[in-house]
Amino acid sequence: MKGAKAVMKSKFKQSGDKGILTFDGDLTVEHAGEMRLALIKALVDSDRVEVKLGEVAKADLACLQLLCSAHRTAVTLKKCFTVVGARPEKFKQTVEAAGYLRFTGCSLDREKGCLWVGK
Amino acid sequence: MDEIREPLEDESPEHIIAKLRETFKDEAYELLAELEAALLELEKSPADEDLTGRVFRALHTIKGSGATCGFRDVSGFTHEVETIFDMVRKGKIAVSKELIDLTLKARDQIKAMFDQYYRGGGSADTVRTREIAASFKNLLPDTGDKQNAVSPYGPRRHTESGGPSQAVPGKNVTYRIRFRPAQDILSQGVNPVSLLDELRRLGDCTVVAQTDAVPKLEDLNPELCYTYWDAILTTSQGMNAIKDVFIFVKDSSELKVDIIDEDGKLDDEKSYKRISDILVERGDLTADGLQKALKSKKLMGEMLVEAGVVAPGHVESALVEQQHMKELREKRQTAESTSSIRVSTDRLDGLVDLVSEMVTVQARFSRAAALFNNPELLSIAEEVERLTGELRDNTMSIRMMPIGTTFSKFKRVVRDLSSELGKEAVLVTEGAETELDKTVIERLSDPLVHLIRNCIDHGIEPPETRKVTGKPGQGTVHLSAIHSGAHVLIQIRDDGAGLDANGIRAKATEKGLVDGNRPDLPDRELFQFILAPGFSTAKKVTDVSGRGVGLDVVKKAIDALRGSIEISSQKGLGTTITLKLPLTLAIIDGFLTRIGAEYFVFPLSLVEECVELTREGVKNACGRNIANVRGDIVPYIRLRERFSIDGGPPPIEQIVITRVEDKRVGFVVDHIIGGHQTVIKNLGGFYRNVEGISGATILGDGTVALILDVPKLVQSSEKEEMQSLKGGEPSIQKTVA
Repeated sequence: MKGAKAVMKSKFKQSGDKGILTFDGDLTVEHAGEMRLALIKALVDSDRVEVKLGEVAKADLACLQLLCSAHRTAVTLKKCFTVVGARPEKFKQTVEAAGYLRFTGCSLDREKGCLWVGK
Repeated sequence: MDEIREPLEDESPEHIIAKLRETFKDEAYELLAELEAALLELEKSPADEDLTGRVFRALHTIKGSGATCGFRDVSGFTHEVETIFDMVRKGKIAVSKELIDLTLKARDQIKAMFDQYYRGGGSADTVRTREIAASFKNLLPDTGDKQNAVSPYGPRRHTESGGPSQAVPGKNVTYRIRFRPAQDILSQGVNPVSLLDELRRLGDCTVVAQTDAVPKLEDLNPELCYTYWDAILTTSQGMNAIKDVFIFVKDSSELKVDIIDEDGKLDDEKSYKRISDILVERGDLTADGLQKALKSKKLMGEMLVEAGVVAPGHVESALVEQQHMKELREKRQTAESTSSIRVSTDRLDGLVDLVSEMVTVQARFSRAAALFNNPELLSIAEEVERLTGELRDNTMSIRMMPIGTTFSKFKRVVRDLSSELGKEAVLVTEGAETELDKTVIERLSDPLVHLIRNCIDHGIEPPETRKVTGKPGQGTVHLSAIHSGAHVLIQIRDDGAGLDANGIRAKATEKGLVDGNRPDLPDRELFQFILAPGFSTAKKVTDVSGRGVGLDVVKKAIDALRGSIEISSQKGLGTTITLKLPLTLAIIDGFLTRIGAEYFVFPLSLVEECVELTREGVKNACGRNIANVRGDIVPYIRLRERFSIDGGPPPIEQIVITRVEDKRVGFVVDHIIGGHQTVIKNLGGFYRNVEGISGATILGDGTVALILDVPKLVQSSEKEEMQSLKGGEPSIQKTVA
């Protein structure tokens, strides 16, 4: 939409023992602060956080760093953090362009839950 | 990633080495030829980096493949030479005539080592090997390198002066890049991912993000960049293009670029570096860390991560580099393997023999089909004939090789000989791509060397003499090859003193080779005498030309190839020797004829036309062996008489008119049969020297037909005529009605 302000929406829903956090819109550095808070809140409220990427219009490096950081935080807290469901095309393109795709996870990834392995 | 080995058959190591060596044989000599050619060019253009690269690569491959094939002496020796050329590449040593001389000597020594195994050429002089190797060591600059020979495999850290800064078309260089942007790059409005995209556009690029610096959420400032990247890029764009990508962030970012491969120079290494080697090179792993990890027995990457000495991201990046290089090499090797394959000459000769047999059988089949006169059979016979013809042409084309493969050898001859004789000469070649049958090329090499040596020794004058006559001090020998119908013309032209026609005439008269009554003998015919055995007008025999091999040997060799030699020369301006050679020696297009019950084949390329010879025509010629062909007088030779064939000729005979050395000469036969694919079979040793016959072929019904050596027949008839003229009885009168 021409002239429309870019938006990012997040929604958190607790379902049983897991918290589902959904992101839509522009997952970019402009909204990185909001995303960070949403992720912190989800990890505080739930031991098992599932992130769903809905209608993602844009995604950038800041978004990837946030998700990576959230996973690291979850591992440290002995919580579970995953990205579930189909990954939007824009998101996949950014992951690839930023060189985030990999064969093995980081040193913290004992549970083999790295968000970037073979996805 | 560990080296992958193909499972080998259950064979002894000696047998495996022998097989490897046999496979390497052709390549070894090709590499030596390439080394020689590159060195000779480098001598002319010492600053040319590409040529230095060519020399280095040839040496590197000889060393690597030599080691693989168990030629330890070759490998060790070549390493010394390669070390020097690695320094030349780095600009630490300059190319000089001394270096070229020494490297050419080293090349000859490597050849002697290979000859020792492949050709049983005696043992290579180990003392000489040591001497040459020592000379190379002495060339090393005094920086401690003499003790620590330079490893050509380590990465070259790019400096302002090192590595190709400019794009080198066609030359692919692989770079290892680490880009660590300033943390505030995002707030500067720069998207580092777009820089990576730009990097990718330069060539084949693999990027791995390093995330080990990404903190936990509570410590994370979402507007900062914590990621840094490792990239492996193969490109011909040069270092500057890489730097240009990061030009706007260069002051705030960390950029490290290493060259890890240049134009596939590491392709002959069995496998790319191990993960641990890459990590140590990158500075991501210390030697101590490696030792610590090696205590367990897991995969190297896992061990390193578990030992806590390397971040998994770095292992990932090293794995990516390994994979990138593996794929790059596979791509290159696939491209090479699809463009050509190496087949042993024995197999090729075997194929040619089979095709020759096939051609003979096809002739029998066509003949049988004609006898049965069955339309269907005739149609199949025609199809088989067409296919056999194509198969023949294709097989023959496989045997074709560019003559240029031998040219570098001649350059070396000119270089060494002119230097030995205190002359200045250069060899200019043209038509290196001209293709000739492999056997022809092999058998042509020695005669050409001899002719070129003659040019330098007798043709090219010393520089002072040349300058006096207004010529440049440096003489030129021009060697060219060009296709001409079913032949290849090879020309050796020099701008030397030229032949002394009067001297040759005097010598020929003295030897009784030329009739004193014929002072008008054209120079072209006169010069042919220098090809006669024992004919020399030289005042002195030099070391070069006095080796007991005269030009008559060259002539014999060219005759054996069914070729001819033509000489033209102008005193003071130079000499041109033209060799006319058939494209192939195995199968020719022939022209089949019959005399009585005997069959004879003319090489079709020599045949111009056929005319009838009637009794009346013979009568009109007043008993002379000449025919009037549309007003043109053509002398002829009666093959029935020449070969003493019994029986009388038919009322109407046929004259096959050929062109030999610009003369039209006819050959009288009884009947003409027509075109015939002629598989040339050598005559047995007993008949090898029969004059006028160059070989035999087997016809469809199993009959043997003789292949005529037309130039030789003409030559011997002329000789007979000369002798009979001397005897006062012109042969032209000796006609049988």
